[in-house]
Amino acid sequence: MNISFNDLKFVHQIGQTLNLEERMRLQLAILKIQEHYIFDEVLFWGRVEGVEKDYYIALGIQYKGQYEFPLKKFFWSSNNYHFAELPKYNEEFAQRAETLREPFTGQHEHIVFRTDEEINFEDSLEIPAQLPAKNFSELERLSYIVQSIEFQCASIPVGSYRLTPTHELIKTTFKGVTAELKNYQHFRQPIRKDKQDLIARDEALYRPDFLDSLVDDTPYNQWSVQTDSTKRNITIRNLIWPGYLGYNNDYTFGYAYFGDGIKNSDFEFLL
Amino acid sequence: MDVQLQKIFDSNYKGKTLYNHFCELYYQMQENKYYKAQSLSDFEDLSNFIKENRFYHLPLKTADQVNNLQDQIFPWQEYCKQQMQLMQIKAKVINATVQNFLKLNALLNNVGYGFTDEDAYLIQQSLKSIAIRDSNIINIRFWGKLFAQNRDYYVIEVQLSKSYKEPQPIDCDEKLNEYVHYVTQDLLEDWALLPQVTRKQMEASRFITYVFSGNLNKEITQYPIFNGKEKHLLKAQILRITHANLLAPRGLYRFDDETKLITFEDEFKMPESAELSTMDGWVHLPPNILKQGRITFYEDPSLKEEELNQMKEADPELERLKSIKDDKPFEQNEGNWNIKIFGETQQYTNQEEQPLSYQIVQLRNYLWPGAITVSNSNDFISIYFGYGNKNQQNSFNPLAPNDIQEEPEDIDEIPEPNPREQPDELEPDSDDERRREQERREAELQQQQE
Repeated sequence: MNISFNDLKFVHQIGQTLNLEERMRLQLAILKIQEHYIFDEVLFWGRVEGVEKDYYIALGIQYKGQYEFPLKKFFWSSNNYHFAELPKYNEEFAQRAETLREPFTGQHEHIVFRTDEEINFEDSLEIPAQLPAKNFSELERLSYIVQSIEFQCASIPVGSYRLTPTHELIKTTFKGVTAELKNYQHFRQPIRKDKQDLIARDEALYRPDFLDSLVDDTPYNQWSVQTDSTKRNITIRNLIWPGYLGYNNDYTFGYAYFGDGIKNSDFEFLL
Repeated sequence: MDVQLQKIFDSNYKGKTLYNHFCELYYQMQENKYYKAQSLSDFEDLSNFIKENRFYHLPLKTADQVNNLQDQIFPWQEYCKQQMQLMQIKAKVINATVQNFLKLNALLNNVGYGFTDEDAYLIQQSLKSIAIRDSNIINIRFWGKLFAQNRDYYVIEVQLSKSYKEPQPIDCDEKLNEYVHYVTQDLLEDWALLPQVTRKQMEASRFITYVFSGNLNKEITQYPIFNGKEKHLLKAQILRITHANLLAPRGLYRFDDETKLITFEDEFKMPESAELSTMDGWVHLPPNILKQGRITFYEDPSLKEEELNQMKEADPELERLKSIKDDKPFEQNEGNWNIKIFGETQQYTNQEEQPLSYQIVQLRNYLWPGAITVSNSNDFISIYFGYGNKNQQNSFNPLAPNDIQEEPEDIDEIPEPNPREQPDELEPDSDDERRREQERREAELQQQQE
């Protein structure tokens, strides 16, 4: 979502918003990111609520010079509104983090899992080349959750981006789409074979729907497309990650996450 | 290839062919002294220029086309009409306590929840329109928004002075249906009244976790069986959420033991912000719903007294206006409620040495994520935004169905007796039988003789 926050009215559909203090400080903080990093766009990604404090996430996207798909970099901040880069997460424990149901505490050093390895330095004559793994902290859990949500949910309407002949993505003049699921696609490097082939053959240059479509997601009912009374403001929500919201109307599009960062793993039973 | 090229060149656009256009363009580029065409970007420019300035007439419209123009409906017409209607609702006097949602929404926005100002205005008009419609309404407030798969529900809660008496089974509690709810899926459209729930439906709804589909008349196919459509389950969930989450500051209401009524306290002063920001300052307003699905315990006359006593102990009635501090704590937290402070936290004192505070307190329920109560030193509001389900800490385990009944054991079969000798004569049981036996023997003898 753009940091001018004109699009916040879509987020009101799920009953969430940013209050004045948050908006002002986020604008300053996100602009400050551009002091040290160069991106084509720096956007506000969302807010993950915790028990004591909340986390704010920003996203920097670089389109130019990137082959196949733009580079995305995430930044996080706590209530101090000072953004730092979101670190990599430990792969082994990351899978378990997806099904955790405890809320985020807000303390980023809070330990979520303890690693069981303990290397005893005294007995061995050799000093191991790698240091023992650190405990899986809440910050890593946040990192994994944010990247999961981005991978599984982030979506854009068909016709908003185009592939140039040098395989860069650019934004096109966007005229709006009707409120159907087939008009949306994932904003990520395509993983489906047929879309990858399209891009390899360069046919994708002439088609607006060259990324993975949302229609092919399983289970199918996880997406909910709704319009408001005017029938022109469309919001698209995901039921597995409640809190994710994609939106578009005739002028703008975007997505954001406002929630508690917990995946709805029971989704299949709920319909 | 040539045929295709010829076709392209001959294609018509507003009476001109592509070939003609190219010729014109080429001519202009070469001959036009005033437009010095030099580079590739000028090519596009010149092409557009020519198109605009040469009068490429469209053929005249036929009579049909001209007449059909008037049938074109302005696409936003319906929306404009409905919105105008809603905005113009007004009445001389409304005899009900209508919540000032417009003002309270600003309070919600300050803690990161709530609607846009435009939606809040529409909701306020809707509250007014329902209050005008029914003169029995005492109290009306906006309950919240329930998300669904296809279309979300907006819910309004109403308290009536005389409730509608729908016929209900004997074991239902009238008090449970004290709050009446209206729903709609689009703020500009009409509001529908939700039906009352029975005790059995209430009991069954505790075991179901369900995402609403958006269709009020959908059949619910879940286990354990819920006898009702989506609107009944919706009402049951709304009641559970209300009875668990509607809060009031301590001291605003008073519970009269004799009349069992809640009334306003005579002298009410809003508690200090320091007290409001702890759990001590808040109490539950509506009564607790028992596991049985009622508010007061139902003594089924068909059950024995011991069973009844056991059930009663497992399902105790709680006192009214209980502090939220005593709620069952959620997991490792200290209670069920998360309290956060927003806004200006600076402490001021005014001229009379009384503390002034502009801070805003937000209470969030852990067990029902999405239920919040927000308050500052003058107002408070309880509202719900969510899917209508509890926060399950354990993975969902569907209830196992009953054990399949086993087949009864087969009786051992004995073969039919076929003895070689005729069995002995048996004594007949009654006079009728004796007579019948005799007649039978006489008939046999007669046959043998013939």
